[in-house]
Amino acid sequence: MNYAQAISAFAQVLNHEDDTDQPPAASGLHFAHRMRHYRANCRLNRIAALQATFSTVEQLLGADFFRAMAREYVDSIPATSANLHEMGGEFPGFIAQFAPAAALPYLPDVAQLDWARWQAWLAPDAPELAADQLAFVASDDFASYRLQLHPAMQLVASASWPIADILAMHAGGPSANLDAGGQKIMISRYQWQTVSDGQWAFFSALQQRSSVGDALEQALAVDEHTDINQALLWLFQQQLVCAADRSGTVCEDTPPPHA
Amino acid sequence: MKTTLPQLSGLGLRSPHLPTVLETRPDVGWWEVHSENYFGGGQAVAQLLQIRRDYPLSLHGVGLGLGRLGELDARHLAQLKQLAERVEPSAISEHLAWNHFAGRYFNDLLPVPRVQGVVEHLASHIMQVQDALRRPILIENVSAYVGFAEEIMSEAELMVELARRTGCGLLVDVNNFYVNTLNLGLDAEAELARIPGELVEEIHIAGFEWFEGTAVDTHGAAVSTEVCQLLGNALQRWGHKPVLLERDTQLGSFADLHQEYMQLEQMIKKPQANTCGVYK
Repeated sequence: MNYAQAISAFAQVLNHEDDTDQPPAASGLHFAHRMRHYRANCRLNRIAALQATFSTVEQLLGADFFRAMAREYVDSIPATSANLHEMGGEFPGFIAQFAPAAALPYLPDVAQLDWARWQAWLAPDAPELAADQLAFVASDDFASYRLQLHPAMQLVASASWPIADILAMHAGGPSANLDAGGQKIMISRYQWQTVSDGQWAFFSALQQRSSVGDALEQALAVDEHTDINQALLWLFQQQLVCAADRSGTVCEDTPPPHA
Repeated sequence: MKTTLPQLSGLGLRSPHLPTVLETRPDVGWWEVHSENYFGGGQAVAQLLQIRRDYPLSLHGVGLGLGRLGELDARHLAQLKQLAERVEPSAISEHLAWNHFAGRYFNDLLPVPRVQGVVEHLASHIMQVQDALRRPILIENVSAYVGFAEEIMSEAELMVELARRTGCGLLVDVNNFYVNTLNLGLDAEAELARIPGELVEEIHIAGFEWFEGTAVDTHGAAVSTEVCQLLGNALQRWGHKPVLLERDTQLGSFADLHQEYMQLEQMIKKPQANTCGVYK
């Protein structure tokens, strides 16, 4: 048996997923009945990773229900990364199809929120562009700039459920009224906040590298009263702007003339 | 030297203990963290950089899967390289393990079959990692619950051969050799004796637990007397080495872990004050 054959035989027994059966006699493995410890380790490591990532979902369901659901997930969806921190991208979709959780129809959207917060937490570092570094830009020109937003910034929308109120409730806030309708949230590295439909459209357009002017236009098309000043203030206050550029000139590397 | 670790004991650093460690700056020779926990940015890496300013640091990978078939994950290796460039660790280590087959990952440290072709396969992956990182790495033996037929060498022999071929250093996990003694019937003392001291750059000790008649390397219990004895004998043979105490599960307070660490440090510095095993 060569190296590749031995690895392949081990993987076959590991994937066999039947802890009671005798493994295939020709596997070339000693003590193959102990393969269940590897299955258990893989499963428990992944479940623990899901617990860390989807903490709001776990709070809503309780630890036992969550573990049972997470086990179904890890048993039905093979891991696609060696890094356990990347575990769970398909979990919100899985929850939406998971019949025992159907009594909590907002759960998939809450899971999406947990996942987005996790992505914000894990995102790589990026440079910060302070608002005063743009001071030299004439206000008429600003609309033609495109902003490079921080990789930690995440946008999450629920069409039907008050996900911001649910999240606030789990951080010790007042009880959420589930009939309050859908909510939209912007997430930065360490904060999150509810945003209006227009602001959400503005941020989405900026994330897709629209110019400030085009993003503004899209926001006002959604709601002509959109508070764009507040949206821009949030971006700079939360250090979410990494660079600004126009026709390929990156502002981050260009010192203001008065500096 | 493959590392710049001090000849002192070190301690595994897990995120629940980070606030205490940052606040109290305890007396610890050096710290080791799991590389993958710092592949992102933000607070985690910022805190690690604070630790790095005051202590030597070792990056210990659990996900590269040196023994996997096919290519290593280029993104995983690039993330490790980026982290290493940021924190400038004293040592970078990986396990002699695999974790991927036919598009599927197994999130555990699976044992490498020491059959025909094993040396060439692992040596090529180790060289690839060392070329990418531009420095030697350390490779660590793992605990195993099953064994392979038709094996051509012991794990210690494989480690020594890989060190000679690739210039990598060895991270000897005494607990893993002992767990394999219990599970697979190998002779841990003989395995340790096969490793020349000059190849050993770091030593790990940890605790294991029994599950259904199998010794499982949980890093969730105190170090056993037998492992202390094996460590004592190994240090007598090899001289002083950086020894790391690992604890990953059933993590108690930092104070308790630090106390266990101090006992280990005492035992290594002053054998007569031995509180762990029968070191002489």
